[in-house]
Amino acid sequence: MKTIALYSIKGGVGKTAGCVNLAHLASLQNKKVLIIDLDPQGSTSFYLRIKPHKKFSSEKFLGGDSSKFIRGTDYENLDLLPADFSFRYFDLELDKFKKSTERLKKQLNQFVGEYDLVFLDCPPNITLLSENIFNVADIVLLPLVPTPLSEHAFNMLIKFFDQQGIKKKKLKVYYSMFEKRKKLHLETVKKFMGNKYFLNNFIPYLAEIEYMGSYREPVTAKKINSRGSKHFIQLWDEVNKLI
Amino acid sequence: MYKTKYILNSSSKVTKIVKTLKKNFAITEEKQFKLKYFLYDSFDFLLLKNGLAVFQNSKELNLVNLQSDENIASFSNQEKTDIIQITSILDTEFRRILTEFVAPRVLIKKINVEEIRKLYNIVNKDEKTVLRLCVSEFLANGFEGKYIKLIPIRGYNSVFKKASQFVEQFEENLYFNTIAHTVLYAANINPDDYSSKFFVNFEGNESIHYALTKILDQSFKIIRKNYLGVIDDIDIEFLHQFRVNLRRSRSALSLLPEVYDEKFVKQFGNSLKKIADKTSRLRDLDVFIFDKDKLFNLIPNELAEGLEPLVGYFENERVDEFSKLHKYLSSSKYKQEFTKWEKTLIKNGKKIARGSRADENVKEYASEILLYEFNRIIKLGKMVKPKSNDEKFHDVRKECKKLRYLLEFFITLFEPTQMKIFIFSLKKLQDVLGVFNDVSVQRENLYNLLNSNIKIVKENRKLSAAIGGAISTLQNIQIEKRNQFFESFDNFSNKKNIKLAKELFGEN
Repeated sequence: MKTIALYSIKGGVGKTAGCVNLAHLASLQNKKVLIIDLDPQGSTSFYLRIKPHKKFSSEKFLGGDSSKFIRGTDYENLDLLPADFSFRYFDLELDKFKKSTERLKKQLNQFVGEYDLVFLDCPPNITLLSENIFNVADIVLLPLVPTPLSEHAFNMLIKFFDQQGIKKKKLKVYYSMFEKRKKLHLETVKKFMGNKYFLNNFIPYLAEIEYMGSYREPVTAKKINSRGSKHFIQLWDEVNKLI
Repeated sequence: MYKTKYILNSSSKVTKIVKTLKKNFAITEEKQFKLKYFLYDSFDFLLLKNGLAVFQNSKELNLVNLQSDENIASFSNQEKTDIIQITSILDTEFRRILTEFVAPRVLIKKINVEEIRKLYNIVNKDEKTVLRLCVSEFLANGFEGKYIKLIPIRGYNSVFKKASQFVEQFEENLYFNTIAHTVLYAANINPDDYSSKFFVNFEGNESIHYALTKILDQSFKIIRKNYLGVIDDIDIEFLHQFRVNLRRSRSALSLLPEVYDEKFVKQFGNSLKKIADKTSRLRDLDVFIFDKDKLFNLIPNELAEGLEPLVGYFENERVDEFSKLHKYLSSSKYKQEFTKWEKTLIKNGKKIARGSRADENVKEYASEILLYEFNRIIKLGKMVKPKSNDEKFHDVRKECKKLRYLLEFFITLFEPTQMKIFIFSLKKLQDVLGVFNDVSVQRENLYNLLNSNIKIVKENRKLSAAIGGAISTLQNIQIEKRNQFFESFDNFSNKKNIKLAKELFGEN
């Protein structure tokens, strides 16, 4: 079982769209895929029209058997462990455990054998939960909107990895919401060209992706031949080769 | 997690069920598609009985776990032949899984299905699919059928339960857990129908004449079941079972004396022997060819390759031998002969000329003969010494086999738990003697081969060396089994077992 975390310190960078579409594409390749929505905002759960079980909570997620709270999506081979609003207390819950930065890793072990891939949709912050995520993930996928602020966030993350002794080679960056017509975007892209952490493929800013919140389906399911889908397919091909 | 259900029903009822579900749930129609596939299994549905199925679609063979409904392995194959030799499946993983659990030699096309499937989604107020519904109209081997399948979605079990309740309101539904069982039922194929298992039930108040006729009738039914498999050369198991039941019939005639008229027994026995003799060589060749790995494993690797030409030689001989048997079994002479005996047993059983003990009670007769056979084994077994020649061991083996047949015939007449213990002790002795015999026969066959005028044996030194190596290993196994005999016989002939035999068969 491999774990891919869609992570960003910043919010609104297309993290959830990336998570849902890449996970859906993986499931189309006959891989058993589980998405875990760690963001209390529950955007992935919203996109996939799934509400959590009433008895589900951050305490249950970190403390016991979560498999009974998993729900099947509308797509074959793709399941979701939906987010609960109590996930905002993750750090408090994690703090109760002895090896607090390894807790998530321990919990995900229960899915070994059942799933080939686990996608983590992460909340936008850098906390104890984030450390757990970095420890468990085989790949940390970072969607980056090519602006100076995102550049700053990326540099912060590199520094954090260094400080915590986390392997930086698991960090992979792709441009998200990229707009060719914007000079600022082009300048930022140019700046990082050839950087070893950056993937070759990117996700452009497209209305059809933004509309996912309206039709509540992966764009790769709704319109497989659309421009957005093609970009996600190319990105997935590149990520898949890294697994 | 609830399991998928297949509900087979008449067309009109399926329409009503769908209407009811549409009234009570929000249903969206997703898609409709046609599909065509074949179901393969071994001659006796070994796969199905082990929770597996092999389906062939237009592109590939799929091995499916029927419990989880998951595809375990696939093998690219576009040939839709009636028979698939397992050795022709080149995908190692597919073959490994198939042979690890079941080990069939061939897969036989059991059923041809053409289906039109309509898929519906049952959705909640967020328009999330919470249950899938599949409605299928199909033709299975030409038989029309229609089924409804409820496919639960993880985490939404309550909807599945509720929908199931609506469906269950309709009476006379038939529920199946797998598509394989559903289409087989529709095509009137019962996987349990093929069984070479011999079983006859007696109440204890019948006459021995009636009992013998019933035993022979049951054996003949099994011979009949295996007939087509033999002449189509589908699997060597058919011929094996065909022969086992010929032998069982002959044994019944000889082991139960004075039940039928002596002249009738002689005629019937000779007729069965004639058929059995025609099949003997083919069975020997089957054992050699299909169990050749066992023989190869007896010899060091450097000698084993020497046996290869012999396999080819026997394979060619098998073609000729099968052709001879096919001709014989397809002939009107054979069919007339077989039908004559079959008719005698089924229609005129009561009229079979009676022997002097024909009217005796089955239990009394059986008890006497079983005890006699048991005592005979004890007597002959005690005569076997470590230095006795092979014949002495064979004599005990033959008597054990006779006792085993008798126990098979009359098992229902005696106390089941005690019978189980008694049969178990006999079986352990037979296991040792069985290997002793197989090895002995194999040794003799190889020795005869070595001294034969067969060109490839005479001219091929490597082959002669390999045969010599095999004979030597077989001799060692035989010595080992000789030693094991005494321990097994001691267990069989101990006081406890003698007491058990007397309790069972009447001498208190």
